[in-house]
Amino acid sequence: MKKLALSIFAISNILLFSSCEEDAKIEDQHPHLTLSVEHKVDAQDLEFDTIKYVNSVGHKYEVQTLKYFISNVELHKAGGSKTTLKGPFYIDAEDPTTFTLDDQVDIPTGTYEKISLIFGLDSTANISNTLTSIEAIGMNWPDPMGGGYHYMKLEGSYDSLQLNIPKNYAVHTGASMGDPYHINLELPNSNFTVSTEDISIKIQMNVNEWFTDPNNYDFAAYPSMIMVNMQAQMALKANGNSVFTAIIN
Amino acid sequence: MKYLVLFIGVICFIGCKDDVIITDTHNHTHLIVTTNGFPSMPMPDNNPLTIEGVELGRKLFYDPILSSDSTQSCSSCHQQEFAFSDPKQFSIGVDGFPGNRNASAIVNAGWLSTAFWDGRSSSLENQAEGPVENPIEMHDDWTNVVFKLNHHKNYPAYFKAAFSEVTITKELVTMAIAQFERTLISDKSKFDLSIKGNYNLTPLEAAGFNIFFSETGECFHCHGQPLFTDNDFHNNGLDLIATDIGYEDVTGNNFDRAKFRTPTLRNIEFSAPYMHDGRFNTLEEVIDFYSDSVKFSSTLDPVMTANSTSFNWTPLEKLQLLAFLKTLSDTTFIKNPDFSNPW
Repeated sequence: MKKLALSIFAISNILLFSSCEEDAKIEDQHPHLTLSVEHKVDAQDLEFDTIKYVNSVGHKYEVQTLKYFISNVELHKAGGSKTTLKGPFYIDAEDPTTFTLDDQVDIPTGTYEKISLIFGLDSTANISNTLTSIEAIGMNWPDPMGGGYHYMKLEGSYDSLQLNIPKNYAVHTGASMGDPYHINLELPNSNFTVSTEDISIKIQMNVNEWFTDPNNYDFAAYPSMIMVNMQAQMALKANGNSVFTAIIN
Repeated sequence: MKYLVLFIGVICFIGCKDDVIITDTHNHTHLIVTTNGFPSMPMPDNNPLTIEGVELGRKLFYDPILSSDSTQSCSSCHQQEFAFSDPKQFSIGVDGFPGNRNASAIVNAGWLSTAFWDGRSSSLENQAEGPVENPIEMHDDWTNVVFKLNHHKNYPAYFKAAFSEVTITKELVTMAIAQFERTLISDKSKFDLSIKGNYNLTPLEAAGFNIFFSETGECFHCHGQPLFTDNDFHNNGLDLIATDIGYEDVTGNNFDRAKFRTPTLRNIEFSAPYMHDGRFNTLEEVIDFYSDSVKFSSTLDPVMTANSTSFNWTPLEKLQLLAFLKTLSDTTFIKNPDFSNPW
């Protein structure tokens, strides 16, 4: 009888242990998330060098350069846990090799309530000469103007009178004179569920949103040289709240 | 004995260069570039720096064996005292014909993603292929150059030491030259010393610094720290109608018309004349141009004219800018014996 009891105890332990091991294995095998960016001008794909877009004040414009940083991308699960992709991520909208932030994010299954991110770099990351990638070189924000890096370079030309006489604009955002203008964003409609399948999420920038809501951004008023123009930086920061959305696949 | 020689060689090398870390791996002594404040130097997997490769590249760089009549080497148009550029507006090839662009300075070239003013080469190895067969440069052909090297009394042994290969090929020649060029690092200017707290900029230089790194000058957008080039292409407004279309020749995109690779401003004092066509003989002329004479065209860089007016710097501001630009001069670079003619 004693032997039987011991045998049952041993077998049940083995079964229990196997079961736990199996659970652990399943727990370890999370699906993968691919996180990438894409760029639109309202409903159109962003196309460079062609004056065909219209901003909120009626100026036709084109884009020649769009380079920016996002950082601290966080996927918030119901219950409070989160998956963080710290970055910072440098994106050149002309270079598709920079569009994928990560294609192997190990993401636990479950329901996610939202995605948050920082547009630009917060003060812990925005420190001169700390980013070691070659690409970061062109994004330096000089120390006499506050130091760190441009959050974004958005450059091109616009035609205010629609007379085919374009003028140039340069929208440069950053920590102007040390005042941080990075934007803490919670992307609208960014709730999603992860089951056993891999998942793909695109963070979409609508370029035209930089120029409207709540501020109509007028290239004629701010053609360039806005790096120490607090009014322009604040207007862009406010507009930036509606620039990004999430596309869940 | 072999290891003793290697050890002494390593010690010598450490003594000469403080920008490299050395590890001895198998037959070759590998070098890793570590320059304070610079990003990591991109390094091709198939061509890591080695002491043997760099020394071979240096010999080849200074050897006229690469030209058809054995009169010209790479160093004929890339002279150390001029920051590895040519003081002539256009270099003269072996047949006496001039080129059509100013020979680029070779300064911190290992960090650049393209070579030539129009970016037509994507690596230093690829760039080194061109001049040998160019009819207005060395005007030889690679088959002949490789033949000469393979029958040279010393080169086969040098290549064996550098690459463990007994047969010399075009690829190995360009790899060695590229290795040498990657060691041409300049990071000891007055400006670098000031960053480290070892030099105080004069009031004139400091005022120039403030113009350079502000929107009063806008210089930093293309010539930012630490390389003083953004590794990119721009039309800086030299001409209303460009006769040299530059980067467009490479991309085929007319939006790239008259764009050229941003040159580094490190050692700019030594590398006159200036611009892709060497049209300006002095830095004063360059500053005057940016101040007052930028020309508008459809591909003009947005930063250049975004305010729709010229910068119109005062004479004092021009002097200040000039003083700052000269703080980027690194005399240890143009006099570094490790970079000089080994023959």
